Amino acid sequence: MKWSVNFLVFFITFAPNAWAIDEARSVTKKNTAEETLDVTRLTRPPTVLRAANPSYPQTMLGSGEDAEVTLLVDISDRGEVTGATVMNAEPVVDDSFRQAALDAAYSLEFSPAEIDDQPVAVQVYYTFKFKAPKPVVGTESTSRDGGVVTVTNPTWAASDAGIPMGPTAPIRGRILERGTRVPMQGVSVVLYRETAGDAGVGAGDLREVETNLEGFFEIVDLTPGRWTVVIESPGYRPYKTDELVQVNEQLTVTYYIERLSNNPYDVVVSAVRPQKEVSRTVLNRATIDKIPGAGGDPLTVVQNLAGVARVTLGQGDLIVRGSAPRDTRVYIGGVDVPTVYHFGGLRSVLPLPVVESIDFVPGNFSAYYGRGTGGIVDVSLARRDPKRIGGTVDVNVLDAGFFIEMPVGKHAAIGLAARRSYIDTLLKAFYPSDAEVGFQTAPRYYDYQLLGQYRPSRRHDVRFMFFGSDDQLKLLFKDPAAFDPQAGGNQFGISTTFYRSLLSYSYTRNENLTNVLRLSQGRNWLAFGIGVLSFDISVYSSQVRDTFRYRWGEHVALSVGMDFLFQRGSGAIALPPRQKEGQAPSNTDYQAIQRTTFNRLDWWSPAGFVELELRPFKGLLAVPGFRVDYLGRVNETTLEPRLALRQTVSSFSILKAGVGLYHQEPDFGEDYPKFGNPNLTAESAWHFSAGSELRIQRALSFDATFFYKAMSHLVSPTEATVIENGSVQPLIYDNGGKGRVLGMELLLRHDGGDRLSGWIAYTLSRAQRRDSGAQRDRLFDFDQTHILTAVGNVRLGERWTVGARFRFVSGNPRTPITASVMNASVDRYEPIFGQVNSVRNDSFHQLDLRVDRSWLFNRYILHAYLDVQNVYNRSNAEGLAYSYDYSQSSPQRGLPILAIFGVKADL
Amino acid sequence: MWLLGVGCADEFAPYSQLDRLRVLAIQSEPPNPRPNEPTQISALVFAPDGNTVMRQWSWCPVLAPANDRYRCPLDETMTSNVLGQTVTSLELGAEESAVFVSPLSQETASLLCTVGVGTAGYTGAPDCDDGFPLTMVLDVTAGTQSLRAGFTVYLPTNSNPEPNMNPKIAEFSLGGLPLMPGEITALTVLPGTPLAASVSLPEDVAEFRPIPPSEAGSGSRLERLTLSWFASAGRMEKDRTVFIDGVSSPGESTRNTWTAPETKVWPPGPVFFHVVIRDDRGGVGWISHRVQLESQP
Repeated sequence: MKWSVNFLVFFITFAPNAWAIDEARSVTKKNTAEETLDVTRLTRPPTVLRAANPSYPQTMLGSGEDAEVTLLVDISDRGEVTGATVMNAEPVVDDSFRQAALDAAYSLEFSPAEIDDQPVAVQVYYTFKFKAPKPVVGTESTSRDGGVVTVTNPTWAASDAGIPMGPTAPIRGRILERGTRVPMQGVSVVLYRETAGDAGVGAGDLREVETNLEGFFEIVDLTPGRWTVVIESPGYRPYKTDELVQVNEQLTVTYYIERLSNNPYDVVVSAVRPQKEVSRTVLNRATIDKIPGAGGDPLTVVQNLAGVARVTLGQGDLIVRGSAPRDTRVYIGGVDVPTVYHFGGLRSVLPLPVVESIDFVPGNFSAYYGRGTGGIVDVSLARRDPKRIGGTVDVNVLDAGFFIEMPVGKHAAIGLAARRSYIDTLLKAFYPSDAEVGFQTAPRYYDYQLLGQYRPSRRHDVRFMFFGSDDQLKLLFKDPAAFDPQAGGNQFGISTTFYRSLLSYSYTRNENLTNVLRLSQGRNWLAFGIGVLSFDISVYSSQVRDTFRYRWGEHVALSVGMDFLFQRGSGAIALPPRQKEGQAPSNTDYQAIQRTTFNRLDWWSPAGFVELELRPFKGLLAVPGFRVDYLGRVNETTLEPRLALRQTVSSFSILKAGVGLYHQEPDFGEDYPKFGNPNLTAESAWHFSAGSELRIQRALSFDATFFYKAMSHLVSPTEATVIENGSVQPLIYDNGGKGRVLGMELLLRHDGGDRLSGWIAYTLSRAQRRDSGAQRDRLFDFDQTHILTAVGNVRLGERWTVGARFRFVSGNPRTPITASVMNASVDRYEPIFGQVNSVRNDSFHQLDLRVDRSWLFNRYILHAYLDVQNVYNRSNAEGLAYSYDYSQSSPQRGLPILAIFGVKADL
Repeated sequence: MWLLGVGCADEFAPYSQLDRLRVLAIQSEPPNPRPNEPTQISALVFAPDGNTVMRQWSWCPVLAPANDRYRCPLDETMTSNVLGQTVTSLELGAEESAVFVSPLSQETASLLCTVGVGTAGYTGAPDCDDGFPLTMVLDVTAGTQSLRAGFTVYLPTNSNPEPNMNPKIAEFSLGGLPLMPGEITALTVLPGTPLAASVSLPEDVAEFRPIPPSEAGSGSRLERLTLSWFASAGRMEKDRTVFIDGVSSPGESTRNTWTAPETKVWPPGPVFFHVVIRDDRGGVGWISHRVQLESQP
């Protein structure tokens, strides 16, 4: 069975000045409703590895006739052309054009299309354009190997016979893509002369060669004189220049030809990936790079999607469908990572060049994922296939970084990226040295990524990545009382460090059988200290994942996998019990500080899952799944049935629904003696969702999803006590919490490549919790009734891109302070809180604009951008600030209008 | 590249500014009442406009939670059950100061530290690092303003037999001039003029104390001292200064700056200056002065 797919990439055609054969291609689907489902599934489109240069039919020389022949080309899962059919020919043309196009089609070679890293066969519309050659009297033609046109019609080219030949000289050259310096293979280079050479001969001479794999070409027998060089290639601007060929001199040239689009990420799969979940949004690099307000940061962009609440300024949390931030799991290359943001959520730990795409699943996710009850963010690492040494340099207001990559032999490639903030350098330059608070280590972060890839054949794909990040901040208060007299110190420090090594091996026997093995190892280290408050925790983590997938025919596919996580923790903690979500932010109780140390605590968390993809009848995809987890920290085995259904109603609409059970362990520390309850069990959540997807136009889609989430066994603060060794001790936490979230997500998305793209996402929801022992529900800390995000980019001309983002979000719930008492022991007022989360902050709205400009040079592309946030200077309230006795309050304002400028070079 | 703008919030009156009814400190003398030993509980209260301050004292045999307005979780009956003796009232009167006589023996306090008082319905785990904690509560009213304040008193236990001493402030100086206790000192100063404010402390003001289990290390260290500065007019540069052994010097914690009011017409009546000193195990002391601002001749 051949898969039929459709992706929405159009290659822009052009009309060359000289005679040429032009081509355009697109990929299409078969015309069945069922297979329309498949067309949105390509994760990698086929790309041309070897172009074809069909001859202008000799029988038509002199006709002056242009022609355009569109073929439907069958491409196998190996990238070979296995068939071609003429679909259209305009105008009604001679059969010789059809035959020339068909002959040429079989010399095309593609990289195979892929779905989820698995090669698949596709059908591609491929258009050849024939332009009649310019009539030149007396020209000479040359026949060369490699499919060069041979013109023998004496009307169009002079015969060799009887034409006196003068001395000759060679020209050697190379064709590179302008800006990226990618060698251009299979490009036609035409040299001709309209005037006689030095010897008075040769007017009308014409030569044509085709560049080789490295983009080189050579012509050895040019007659001296001025030659016109014309280079044309589909998708590129025609290039024309003159060269003076002199006797006994070899002419060596390099020509840079310019793409019609210079977006480095313009190989875009506009449609979503193969979708087994009820809701999944895929963001590719091109989209991420231009979102206003996100600074080109991959994970910050996720905060603009439907179902994601806005977080307070300076936080990098992901709050998905009313779940706490830690409920949402983040995967990089298929493995868990502890944190994805640097300080304050300004930046994520991965730069854009190492990211292929980001999958965001707000709920009802596959059995492949576990240990979380919220949503999923899965970062796919870019498959590097560099043809040369190249990379990027990125400098902006926060940090500077680079990425460099290079091929290693024919089948391997390596890349290296690093980034460092220079906030510390700026502070040293501008911060007064006699300030009350000094920086021992000014805030700084860096991250690094080392990538390797080895792909000896299409069956085997080995990738390696070592990545990590390090954040540090140390403050010295000259006056210890300036922070908190009770803290007992004048130094504040915080550091977050982690690294991961990741090795993955994908084996693809054929399109029916695949296996992906992932191994990762790493360490997380988190340290904090201010006076007597401190923690210093180190956790080693190892993870092994293997997923086997086999497909039987069209109707059944089975995925089976294991997911083994081992963690070993050591550390020391001196803190009071932490405040949970729903607890009002009271002052630090230094009397409640607990101190403990632990060493080499081991947690084993093996898991297995099985998932079926069933297509029992036309249009229906049913994905039942089942996952079993052993959660080591709570010593509990959890069983998680899941089901997702997608029914194609018509070629442009799909109905969908899902239900599933999810579990996760308590947060670290909540199950630890002294700080929590060691007898806690896993938290659980049922996810329900249903909705519809509509493809209104080719590039315009609409998605409506209704969801309900029922959470139970939530870890919740309690006043209950327990008798331990004859002493009554507070239980601190139990599993008596419950929660529910009801909502609706609407997503209208336009994906027109780099011309016009964007979306409008609206979420209406209500998230509630019921704490242990409480009689009534309360609002979740981050319940936001309305979340509206409109994001758009439009390309203006060849060099400019303008983008805008508008957000309107309901204010977060807040617990009012109704009174205060004076704590004369510690010399401060203590707030008296009213009903939990019974009032709201003001609504948030903000407009951000971004302008990008690129300059194309032969050897690099320079990009500059201006990102203006909060354009109309809205004074948004991020919270309330209180007077010392809480009798007065005023809003804590967010950032005013803010302009950020940055430059980036693609080398 | 450039970056423009930062976020901000409105500013409020500083903690050191006395412009409303305040309880600046509560003191237990001695700090660690022994069983059946009369202990004086007093308070430093500021009331604006010379309003008369009404006081009401009470106590709670356990640590009453501040976030519940220091409501005592135990009533008289429950207290009697916990202590094993009849307690008829938790009220301590309405005088300027109260006298408290601890009904808890050192053994009872030690036992409660070990087993807790959960059986009496009180779920908070007692932190007995500095002794068994109980709570003194003061309600003050002046004119239309009222305020509740709480203060923790630590009873000696078998593991904390060494009593604490209340720290003292020997002298307060303004502009280099030592002020005389009980007198109103006339001060000639220009509006907005900063003057050095300082206190002198006895050499042994910081006692050695055992390092509590919540801190790293063992043995003993000097007490941490916090000085809180208050003025009813003008502005103190720092609300508080701190002495932390090994971090800041005693000299640094005794210096501050007071800036005279910017107004050209001095406020009526004297300016009240109060400096409160606290150690980190319940010891409290203070010094108070009045200054009459006079125009520049």
